[in-house]
Amino acid sequence: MSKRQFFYVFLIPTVVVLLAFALYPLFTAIYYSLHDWDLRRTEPMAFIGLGNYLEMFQDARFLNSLRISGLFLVGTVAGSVLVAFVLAPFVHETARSHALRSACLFAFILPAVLPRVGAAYMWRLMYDPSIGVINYLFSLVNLGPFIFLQNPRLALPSIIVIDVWQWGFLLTALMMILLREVPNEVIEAARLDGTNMLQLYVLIMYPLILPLSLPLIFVKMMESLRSFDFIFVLTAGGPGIATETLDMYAYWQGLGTAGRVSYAAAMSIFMVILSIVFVTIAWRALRRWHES
Amino acid sequence: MRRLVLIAFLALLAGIASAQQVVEVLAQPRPEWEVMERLFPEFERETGIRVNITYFAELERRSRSRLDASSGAGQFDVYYIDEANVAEFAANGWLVPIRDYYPEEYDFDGFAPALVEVLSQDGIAYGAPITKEGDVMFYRQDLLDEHGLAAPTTLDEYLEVVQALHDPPRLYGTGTRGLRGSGMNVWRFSPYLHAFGGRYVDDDGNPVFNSPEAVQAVEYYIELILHSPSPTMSWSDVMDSFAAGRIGIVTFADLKMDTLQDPERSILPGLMGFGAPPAGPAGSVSNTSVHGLAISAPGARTEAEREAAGEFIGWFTSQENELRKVAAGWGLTNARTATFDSDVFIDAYPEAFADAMSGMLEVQRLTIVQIPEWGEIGDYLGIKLEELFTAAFSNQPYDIQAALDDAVAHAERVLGR
Repeated sequence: MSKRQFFYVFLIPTVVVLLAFALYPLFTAIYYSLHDWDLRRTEPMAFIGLGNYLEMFQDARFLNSLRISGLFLVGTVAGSVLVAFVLAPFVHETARSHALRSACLFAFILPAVLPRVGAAYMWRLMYDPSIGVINYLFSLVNLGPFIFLQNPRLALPSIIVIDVWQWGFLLTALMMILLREVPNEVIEAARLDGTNMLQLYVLIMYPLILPLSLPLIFVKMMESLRSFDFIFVLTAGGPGIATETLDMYAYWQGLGTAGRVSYAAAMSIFMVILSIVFVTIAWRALRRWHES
Repeated sequence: MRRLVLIAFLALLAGIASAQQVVEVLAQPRPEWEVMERLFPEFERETGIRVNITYFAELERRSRSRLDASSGAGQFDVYYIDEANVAEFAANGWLVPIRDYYPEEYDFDGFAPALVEVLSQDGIAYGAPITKEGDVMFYRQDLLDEHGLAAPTTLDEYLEVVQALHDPPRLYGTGTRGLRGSGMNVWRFSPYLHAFGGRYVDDDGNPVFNSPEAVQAVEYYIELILHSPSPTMSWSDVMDSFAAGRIGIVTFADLKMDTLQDPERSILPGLMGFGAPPAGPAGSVSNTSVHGLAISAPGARTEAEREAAGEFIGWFTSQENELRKVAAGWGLTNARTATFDSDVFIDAYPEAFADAMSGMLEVQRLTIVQIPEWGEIGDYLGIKLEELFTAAFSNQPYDIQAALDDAVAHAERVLGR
């Protein structure tokens, strides 16, 4: 067996898995999205071209879910990054001993180790207006009780907070490790030149660790686009449709209650295209910014 | 070699002989099914038929059985059906007429005829009823006495009691379902719609639930929501809060009595009063829900499979097993006239509760619309209602008429598709 053949043999399992679990479902979804398969009806499905895609853009609930997905993505990514970029330097500068830093790292990684659904249940209890610990704390200073998940305006921010709690601290922990890797000479040279702490981070430390943290931020973006299980446990998209993301709406339309599999498939395909376009644009923009 | 073939052949024969008939059941978890499951070995011994149950919560159960039937997968021989999906399943030919396979020895005619009718389409029965429910008003007699209040008989009086008892966070006047869904908030709201003189569709089947009467009904319901612990309660949230003594008065399914009078799960035994649902401008109205078991056409394909499924349904719903449910404390989840007339059943419930149930029976009706599109129409209305409830609860502006107009427009689109 030549070296080349050897490589091909080892590629087979990956290619098979990819075909069976990624490409096959993707192409069947495209196929269904061009038809009108409805679980409620027994007559065979008919080809309707782009009908489902055209209907989508006249569907106010679809446009709403698009908006919610966007807000959730921006809110969770920006929130997590902000927490990491503020908290990591703070801990890095104040916790000087190795033991203290390790303890902080451990504490920051802990929320992310919790399963998403478990964390969601925990926070649902914590947010509860009558038995939740958050309202108990507010009641100590004579505030509340507040309703969080049942308030159309507060529900989405409340969910974003939970996501940031899991991901912001995880990013903080990873950022702390990156900061530790910055060579001491660089920092000392900057200090000799008379930079203050803000300048040190904005001009030197962040640009140094950014190439390494960008992939992390992208992983977070992809993760934010599929938070079905998490939101399902917290609000299932409610109140009303205030937290109904694209995947949640596709679920309700497809398997949930309406049974319009083709319409749901069209939404999923649209979501795939949207994420590819979005991630590509964001990736390029960030790289260009970094290179300049 | 020849001997080897013979042995293989014999082994194959033995394998066929021991291949047991298995009935696959898709059901929704209910406490009385736990009681029934303990009796399954008895059925399996008698008939040699094995039973395998897969449980899904209500909404999942509906979508799973639809997927199973519509895709032709037919993994299940027996579906758990209800008043909300029997129309869809029967219209699509996914169910087998139950009388054809219901064993004579178990007496299909022993079911209360009104219940069989709900699980029928065009006069053909598709399901054997396993439970029914209607609405009863439950209240805290001790608290009403304390406040010197009489038991309400009209919706106006009901609201007065709710307001008088409301003293949060110690005690909430009432609790009512707000969580969205055709089988959730819409189900609980439906009797109010009718009690105010509204309806879902007119005689020609056009959606009309944006009428002035419907708006009044929603206004009233929002008053109840504002005196509840949360605007998005599920039925179990309401029941748990009431059982824990945090709610003053509620109107919900009579079935909950089995839990509420159990001292291990409720603080209420001896403290409750009961009544028929209070009357609105158009009278008193109670929901009617009937759940049952049906034979799946795509699942039970062969005659033998259908007979086995019928055998299981017959045994499950037999007179003997209904009385066993009464003895186990789940007497209300039954469907046979003889059970409800039996001494054990009558002894199991307080007289005042029995009177309230009689009142309920007089005003029971099907409050939803039995059409295949109901799930989708009801779910959208449920979303609109949840938006109104949560906005009102959070002191944010809301517009009932606009929300109902929107839901009616959606219903017209669904019906026209």
